[in-house]
Amino acid sequence: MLSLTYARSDETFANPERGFYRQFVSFDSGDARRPLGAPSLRAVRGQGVSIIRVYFVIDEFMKGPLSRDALDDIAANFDEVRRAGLKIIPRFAYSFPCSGAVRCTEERVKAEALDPSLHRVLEHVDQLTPVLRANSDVIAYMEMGFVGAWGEWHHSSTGLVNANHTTNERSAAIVERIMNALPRNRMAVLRYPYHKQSLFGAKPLDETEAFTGSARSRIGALNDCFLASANDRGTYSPPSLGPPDKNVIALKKFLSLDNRFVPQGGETCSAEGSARSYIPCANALRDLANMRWSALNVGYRREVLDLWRQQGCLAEIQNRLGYRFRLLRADLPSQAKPGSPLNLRFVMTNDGFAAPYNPRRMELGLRHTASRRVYPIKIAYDLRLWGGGETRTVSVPDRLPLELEPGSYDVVLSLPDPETRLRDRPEYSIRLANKGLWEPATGSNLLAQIQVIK
Amino acid sequence: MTRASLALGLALAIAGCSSRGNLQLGMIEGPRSISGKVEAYRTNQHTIAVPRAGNLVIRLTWQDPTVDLELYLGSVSCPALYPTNACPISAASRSAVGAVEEVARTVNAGRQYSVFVDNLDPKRGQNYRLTLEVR
Repeated sequence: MLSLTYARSDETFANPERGFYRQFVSFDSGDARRPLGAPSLRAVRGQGVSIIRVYFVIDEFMKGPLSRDALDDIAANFDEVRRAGLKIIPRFAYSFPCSGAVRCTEERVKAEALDPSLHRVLEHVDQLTPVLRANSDVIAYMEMGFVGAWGEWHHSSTGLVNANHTTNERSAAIVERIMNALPRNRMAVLRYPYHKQSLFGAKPLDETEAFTGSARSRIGALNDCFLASANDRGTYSPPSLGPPDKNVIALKKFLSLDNRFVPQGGETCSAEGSARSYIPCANALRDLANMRWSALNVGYRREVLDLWRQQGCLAEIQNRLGYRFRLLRADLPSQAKPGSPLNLRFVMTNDGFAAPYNPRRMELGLRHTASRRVYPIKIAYDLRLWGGGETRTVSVPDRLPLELEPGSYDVVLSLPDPETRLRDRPEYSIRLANKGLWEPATGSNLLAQIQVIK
Repeated sequence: MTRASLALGLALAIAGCSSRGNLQLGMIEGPRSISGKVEAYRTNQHTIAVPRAGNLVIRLTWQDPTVDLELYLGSVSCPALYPTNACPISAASRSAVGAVEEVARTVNAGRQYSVFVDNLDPKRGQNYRLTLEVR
C-alpha cells in the first residue's frame, strides 16, 4: 500500500468560477460599445483572474426591441470570453448613473436611473434568452440586473421595484422570466436578500431543495456595498421590518445558510466614514467566511483592497474566495491487477469560503506513463455540497479496467467543467492547492504512481 | 441529590413581556417551564428570579425547525434586546438549524435576569416552550 501525504501550497492562482473578478463595460450608455478584446482578456487571465463582470447598458433600446447587431455583439463577447479561458458574470442595466462623477448624489441617481416599462424588460429578456442559453457554459452566474440604477434593484422610475424597496408583481415577473431564460444549471443573484425572501419565502435553502433546478434554489446574493456600514448601506435593511441591528443579524444568518448552495458576489463601495469600522481584515475575513463569498470585484474600491494589502490579508482573501481544495493524504495499492479493486481513498479539505456552485465532474484517471493513454474512473461525488472549512474522505472502490496493459501508471485527479466545449480545457479544470501536483497542460492533479501487473 | 430533586427545589419567578410593549403575563411562582408565542420578527422578554445559586440551564424548544428562534439571557435592566449595544447579554444560543436552543450560566441566589426569545422569521410566528432549571 502507498500512504501519501501532500504539501500545502499558498500560491495564488486562478481557478474557475471563483476569486477576484475584473469589471468591463461592454455596452455603455447611449450607443457606445466596447467589445471585449482578446488582449485585455488574456491580460486578465495572466493576472490570476478567472472571471469578469460585464455591464451591458442597453438604454439605447428603452423604446424598442434589442437590435440584431446588439444581440450579435453580446454573443460575440461571450465567444471572446470562452476563447480567453474565462467565465462571465453578465449584468444588463438601463442606466449607469454618476458615470465619471466625483460625487454621486441621491438626486443625481434619481434623475439618471430611468427604466423602461415592464413589457419592454420582458421583451428584452426573451430576446436575450437564446444568447444566454447558447453561452451558458461560460456564465459563472448572472446578476439579476435590468431594474433600477445600475440594474441594482433600487430607484426604478417605472415601479419595477417599489420606492420603499419592497418587491411587487412586476419585480416577480422579471425574476421569473430571467430564471426561465437561464438553463436550470445556471444561477442568478439578487441585490437584496430580503427581496429573495419576499419573492420566495424567508426559509433558507436546505439540502433537500439545493440544486433541484427550482428558481429559489438558483438565486444567490449580490452585495455591491460590502463592509460599507453596519448594514452595508441598505443591503440588510428590509423596509419597515424591525430594529436595524436585528435586520442585520437576521439577514446575515439567512445568507449564511442560503449561500451554502448559491453564490455570493459583489464589491466594496467605500473606504470612508462608517466603512472604516468594517473594512479592516479581521471583520472582512469574518464576513467573507460567514456569508460564503465566491467572487469580489478587484477594481472597486481600490482603497479597500489597498488596506487589505497593508494589513496582510489580501492574499488570503484572494485565495479563499469560493472554493480552494487541498489534498491532505491518499491511500492506494502500490500495484494492482486489471479487474482488481483499486481501493483508493483520499482526504481533501476546502480552505475556501464557499463550495463550488456550478456542476463539476470528479474523475480519477489512470494514465499509462509510456503511451499516455488515460483510463478514466468517474467518481460520483457532488462537489457543490463540499462547503468551506470542510474536510472529507472520498473512497474509490472501483475495479481497475480489464483492458489495462501492464506497466507504470500515473494516478491523476481531474475536476473538469462538465460542459462539452470546456471539459478538455485545462483553464476550466480545478487546480488543487498543493505543491507539485498540478499539470497545466492536462488540467489534472497528479496524485501518485502505481504499477499494473499481470 | 438527583437532578429531578434539584429541579423540584427550584422556585423561579417568571414574568413575560413582549418587545411590542410590556405585555404582562403575571408572576408565576414555582413552575420550571413556560409556554408562549412569539410573533413574526418580534422578541418576547421574560423576567426570571433565581432563588438559589447554581448553574442555570434554560432550554427553548419549538415545533417548526424552519422558523429560526434565538435565545438570550441578559441583564434584568435590559428594556429590550435591541439595540444590542444597549443590553448586556451574558449567554446566547443562536443555532441556525433545528428547533432547540440552550444556554447555561452560573447564577447567584436572589438575582433576576431577562430571558429573550427572538424570532428571526419575518413572516411566521411560533409557539415555544422554555424550560428552566438550576443544577
